[in-house]
Amino acid sequence: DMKKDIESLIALEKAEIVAKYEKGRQEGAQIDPWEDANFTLYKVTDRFGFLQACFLNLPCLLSPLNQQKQQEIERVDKWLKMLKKWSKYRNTDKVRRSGKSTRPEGWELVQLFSESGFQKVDREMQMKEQAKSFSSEIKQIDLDVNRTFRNHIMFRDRYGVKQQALFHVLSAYSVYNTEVSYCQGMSQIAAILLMYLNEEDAFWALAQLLTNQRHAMHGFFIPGFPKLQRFQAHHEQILSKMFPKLKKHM
Amino acid sequence: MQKHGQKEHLYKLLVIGDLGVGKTSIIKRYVHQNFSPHYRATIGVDFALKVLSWDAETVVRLQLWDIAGQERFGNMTRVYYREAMGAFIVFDVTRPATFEAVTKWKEDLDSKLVLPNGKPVPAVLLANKCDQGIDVLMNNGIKMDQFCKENGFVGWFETSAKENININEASRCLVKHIIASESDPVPTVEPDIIKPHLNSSKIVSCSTCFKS
Repeated sequence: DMKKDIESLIALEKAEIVAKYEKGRQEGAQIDPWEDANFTLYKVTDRFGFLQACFLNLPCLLSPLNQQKQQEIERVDKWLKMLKKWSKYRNTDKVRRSGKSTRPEGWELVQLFSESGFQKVDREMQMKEQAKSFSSEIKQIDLDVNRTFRNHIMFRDRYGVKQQALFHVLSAYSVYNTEVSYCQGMSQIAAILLMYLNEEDAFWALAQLLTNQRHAMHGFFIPGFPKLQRFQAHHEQILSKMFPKLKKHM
Repeated sequence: MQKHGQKEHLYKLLVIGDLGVGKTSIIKRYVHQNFSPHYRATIGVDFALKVLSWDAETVVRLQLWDIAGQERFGNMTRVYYREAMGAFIVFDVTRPATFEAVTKWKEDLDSKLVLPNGKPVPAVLLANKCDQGIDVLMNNGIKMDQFCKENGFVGWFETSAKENININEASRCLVKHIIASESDPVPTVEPDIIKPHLNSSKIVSCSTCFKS
């Protein structure tokens, strides 16, 4: 009897979470005040959108070295040039060196369109709907959205636009890739993608990171973490070869 | 132990329970005396150290192991149970499923860890987020004292990491039981083992001081 009670409570909880993200921060949204970040301490965001505690009498991160700025501007030009002749540059080392501002376009090309890029948007929308009814990980995702990069301008507002997007991407992915579903650690990756890409693109970039040949992060996240175990074994071998004393100490 | 001054104990404690119940928050509150609603999810395991002046002669060092709550980290994090002396099992009073999981965590703990004397490690149950004003236990009429007795918890506390309620008390309760369990004699029910007593009148505490 108690069990049944708990099951219906869980179903109710899930429906409430979905509704909250749907509502976002529109009028009438009920947001637990303590869930909303109180960042009065923070005064400024840095170039990457992270909120930094800057005190009035301290020089802060707002003014990066001119040299650094100049370099970034130059890189933007290089990227734009490469993107124009993408087929020529796509597999060169130049592409692997990155520049911040053009990253969205670059990433789209590298991640998204390396697989058949069309029809995907529809599928993502479809899965977003499916996720709301099927994903058993909704509560876990909700808990982690509430604690992912809350010190970043895009994610500071509870149920804000980017938190909504993060919730959609993760819950859709949990339905799309049932073997991985949702694993802690994925929310930070998806959030970084969302800093540069829109919802659909971030979803497909995440999909590429997990399953394409080069990144294949799938094995880091499926139950048992087989790839992580392999990497750990490698790490230990390297340790015993390079730092035998340290290894022995451990 | 030491000839002069204080005795020191080092205890490894586990903090386990479902994802998002507030394990990290409880530890941060206990060790660093602060609270943030936005601690990151714990991936794998995390550590903290707390030093307690237990009484005039005793210092207790607690090594707190903050274990990731998501189920799939289970296989990986169980190896961290080894040599723990006590455990907090945490649930969130606003989320019934996390209370459901308490028995699962307790069974898991007891199946993977026993004290040298063969008894289960002392465990204290923490009903966290009691400041939220939503209490699953009251709504379900669950008798906590009864629940603890049936499931082998040495005690339970309603806690709030946010408002700093009962966390010190819960810790003192657990440490008290650990100290008591340490002074418990190793059980004599070992019928197949014969213990040789070589010259039992001569007590040697340290091989290098043998001659003094």
